[in-house]
Amino acid sequence: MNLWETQLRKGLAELAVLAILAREEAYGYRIVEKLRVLDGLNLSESTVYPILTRLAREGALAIRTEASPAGPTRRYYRLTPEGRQKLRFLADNWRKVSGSMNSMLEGVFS
Amino acid sequence: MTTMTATPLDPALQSLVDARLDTIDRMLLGRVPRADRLGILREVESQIEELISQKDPANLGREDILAVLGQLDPPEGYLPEILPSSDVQMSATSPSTKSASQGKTPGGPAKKTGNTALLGGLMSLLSLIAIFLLTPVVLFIGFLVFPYMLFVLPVVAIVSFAFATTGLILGIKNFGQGAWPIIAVVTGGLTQLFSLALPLPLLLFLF
Repeated sequence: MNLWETQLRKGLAELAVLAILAREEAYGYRIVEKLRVLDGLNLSESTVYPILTRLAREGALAIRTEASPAGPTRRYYRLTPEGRQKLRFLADNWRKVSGSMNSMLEGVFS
Repeated sequence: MTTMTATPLDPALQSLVDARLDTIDRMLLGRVPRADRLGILREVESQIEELISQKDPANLGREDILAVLGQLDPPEGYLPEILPSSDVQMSATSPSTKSASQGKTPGGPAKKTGNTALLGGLMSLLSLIAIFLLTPVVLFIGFLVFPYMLFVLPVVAIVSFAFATTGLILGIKNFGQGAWPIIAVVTGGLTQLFSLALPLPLLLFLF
């Protein structure tokens, strides 16, 4: 995987994490599992956990701990109002950029 | 570091888990804020426990733990990559490839470029200053006091030319990185011209 692709995925990782948590709260490994299966993103824990901890520190995510009967105590992340605002900002930017790029690439390979 | 699994691991197996967590901890130390580092380690630890809990606890062995650890990103995957400083904490290597990262720190290459540009500028500037200061002294002594002193001129010329050329190359390589590369190119070029002309007084003396 080249550097451009890696940087692109990393840039989108924060948006992807926020988007997942906008639907429901989830614990770290569950978020990783959800992101891992997304085609083209291939995000895994070494990218996701630093984002989760940073977003929590910045106040975009709130954490709730819950004991799991089968395994370890889980830390559930959910969006705060600041996080939702951030998600909206990132999503708007993404839509603009992806829209521009799509129209730019339209018909290029036909 | 200890895990909090429902059933504590055998100490030998726990040490395998701890070793992995310690390695990630060392990778992150000094690179990300402490709170983030602890948060990341907590998540990795939790993931390991989650994966271990899916195995049969009665037959849990070294191979099982190694298999679990093998499913994880390598510790190098947590190293921040070359990104703007605001993104340093969130960055990590390509996780899907599970390959070792290059371990470069943000700002490193730019700082190196700045240093080489400065070095080039200083080398060219010093060679020009040296040629302007030494030449009159050598000529004065050579023509008025001790003629054989003129043989020093080629040495001054060669040393100045070498310095100026190195400075010039560094200046060209770092062109556009501020004022030092421009100084390196201008003074380096001038020094080269002067050092080529420097042996002329010696030739006049000889012939």
